[in-house]
Amino acid sequence: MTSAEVLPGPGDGHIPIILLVEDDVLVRFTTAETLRDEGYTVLEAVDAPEALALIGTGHPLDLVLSDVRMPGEMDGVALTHAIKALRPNLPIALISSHLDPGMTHCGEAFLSKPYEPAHLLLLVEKLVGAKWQTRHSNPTAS
Amino acid sequence: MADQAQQSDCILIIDGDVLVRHALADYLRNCGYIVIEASSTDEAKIVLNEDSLAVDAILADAEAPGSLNAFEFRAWALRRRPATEMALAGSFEAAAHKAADLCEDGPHLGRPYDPQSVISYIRRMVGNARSASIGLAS
Repeated sequence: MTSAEVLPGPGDGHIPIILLVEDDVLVRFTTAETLRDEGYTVLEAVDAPEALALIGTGHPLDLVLSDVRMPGEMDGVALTHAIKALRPNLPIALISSHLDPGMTHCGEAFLSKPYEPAHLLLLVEKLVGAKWQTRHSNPTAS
Repeated sequence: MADQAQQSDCILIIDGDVLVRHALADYLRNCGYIVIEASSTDEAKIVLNEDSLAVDAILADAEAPGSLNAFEFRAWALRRRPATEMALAGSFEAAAHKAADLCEDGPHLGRPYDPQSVISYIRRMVGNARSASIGLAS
């Protein structure tokens, strides 16, 4: 396959796995179900320690979606740095209602709240698609 | 969201351990349920106070964190949602077996796999996570 070819979408072959980090239970459930309805597998974490615990299991992941403002010592930006130290190739998108241009530098993308589900899905498709592309062109990449 | 939840049976899982919660939720989703994950009784109260969310059953860790302990939460939940069944599990092994029973009773696909597989999966995840945290600390 060349890099120009379209990789399979959710449901065709590899199902992308997304780690969603969000401290609001209703937002987390709604967002996760939106993604599951599109065929993605979603792991849910309430905060940074939970996200790092899931990552520490070695569970395969294609994308991390994280809220920026979270309770506890680590916010979304600190979590992004911690994840990048563990899995440098794992794409991360930050979500926040407080747009800070500086935040875009620590993750691959930034989504501003409130957002339409269609915008979320577009962003995920773009990031997961890019990941598939990287993996396929370099199958030994983790 | 609300319409979708009302179309399928929905289970609310309450467990403060993300590895256990994830494994149980994954198992229940594989047998056809919509699953809401709550990390504490406080999150579970938010869910049950949301009238648009139909919750058919609750599976809670007996030691779930929160401002209400699991037994106090059960009493509160029975008042808030009298028709909702609730099971308390004292260990993740017991929770896995209760999840399997829910699958057995559910209208969907039956047990996706043996509950012992869930227990083994949780043990593997916990072991891996511990190794990773030791590696990070050293």
